[in-house]
Amino acid sequence: MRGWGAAAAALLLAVAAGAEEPAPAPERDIDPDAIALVTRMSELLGKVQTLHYVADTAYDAVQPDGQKIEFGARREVTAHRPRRIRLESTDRDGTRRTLRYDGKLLSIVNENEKAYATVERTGTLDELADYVHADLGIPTPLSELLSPDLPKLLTDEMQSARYVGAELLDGKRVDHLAFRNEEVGVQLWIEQGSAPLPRRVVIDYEGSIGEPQFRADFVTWEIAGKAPDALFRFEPPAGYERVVFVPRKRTPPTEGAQP
Amino acid sequence: MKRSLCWLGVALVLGLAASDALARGGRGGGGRGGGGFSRGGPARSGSFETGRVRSAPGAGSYSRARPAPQPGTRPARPAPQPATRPAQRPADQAAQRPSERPGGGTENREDWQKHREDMQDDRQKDRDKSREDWQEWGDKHHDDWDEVDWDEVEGIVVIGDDELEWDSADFLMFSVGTALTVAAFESLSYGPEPACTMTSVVVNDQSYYRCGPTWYVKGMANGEVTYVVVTPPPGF
Repeated sequence: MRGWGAAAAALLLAVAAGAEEPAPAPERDIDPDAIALVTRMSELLGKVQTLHYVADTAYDAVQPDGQKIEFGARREVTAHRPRRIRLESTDRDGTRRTLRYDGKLLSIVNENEKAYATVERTGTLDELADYVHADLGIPTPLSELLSPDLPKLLTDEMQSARYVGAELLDGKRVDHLAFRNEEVGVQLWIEQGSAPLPRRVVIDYEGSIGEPQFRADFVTWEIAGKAPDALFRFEPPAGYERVVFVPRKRTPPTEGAQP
Repeated sequence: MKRSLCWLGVALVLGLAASDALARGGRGGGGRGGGGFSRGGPARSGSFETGRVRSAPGAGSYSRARPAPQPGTRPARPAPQPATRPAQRPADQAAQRPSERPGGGTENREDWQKHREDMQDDRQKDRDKSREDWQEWGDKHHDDWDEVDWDEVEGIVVIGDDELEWDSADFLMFSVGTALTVAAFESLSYGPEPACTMTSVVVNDQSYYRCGPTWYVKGMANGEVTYVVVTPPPGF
């Protein structure tokens, strides 16, 4: 009996020990070919000094009743490394905004409200992007896509990276890639040939309520053009009102702090 | 992750960052021109970085993930208190959802089917839980949060005209830093129940607007024009 008791105790201990073990990490499936294609794209985007693109973007906004409503915009971007960028967006509802940065001054113009805000800033586009994201609260979608760190991000953060296949997209031969982790599924279509530029991006937020999707179709790409300084320089439009940037709150306001 | 050429991404969000207030037709002043649809949500971010996605709910993504408003409940109550809102909002749990799905690249049709069913079941439970959490939070912190349509975007509380349906004295008490949409601001003095006669002064080349005891300046929050509650200007 002692033997059976010892065996039962050992079994219980083994079961208990097993219950305390952490769940095994999900199996990763990283196709090096997929990473290599992304790396090639990143290297190209990283070495051009001036680039310009037009993209049509859309995303799902999940409503309280669960219905997904699509909103979208056309974006036009001209960037000149390391310290100049101009971004123009036109929402489908007609709202137009322009962001300019010339290495000294950041400005955003809201044409519909005939208002603009400016703030003196210096630094690279990366540093300015950090400021806009962290301090002004403006999200920076797809920034990872255009970052030289993208291959590392995908390798480190994604559980799977796969090569779906060669496809034809808007008359162009493209490589279709798919990445996924617990939260998002990302699909990239990268043009084949000597200019491996992103042509389409789809992001599924599978870990979010309603599983909304973001889509971006790049209409045009120019990576060999020139960008005059005036493109990035801000001149207050006549009849527009100057307003202040509203930064993110660093700390919650104190109770009873009303004026 | 270090961002390079984030501006290319920023370009893609200019406009995506449009506040829900605009979706509600805030510019029209009536607050209904946009059909009352929310423009928020994680997909607005257009980011596939896991960290960003996790932070998306805090960017107002789930500010509308609540039960539908229940009009007709306009109790007299204290002013909104953004500072008392929980740091970890219920909807944030979306980032902590189960991740038991099969590993990528080893598709098994049956596994995936089961996984999809499980995920749908999980999502439904999460949705129900989220609503319960919101209801619980609202009951605890705000008697009628259903009616108050907060849009907390990266720490900036943006209030639309839909929120200004209660007694005028209440919305004179917004905290410093609270932002009102243009329509909400205009409804203070032009709505059916004007709260005040709006006045303005210019101090140090900055226009200040005053409604009762509250001072505002015109600002840009997330690319949208708003009126932000500030402390009184020097001399006032």
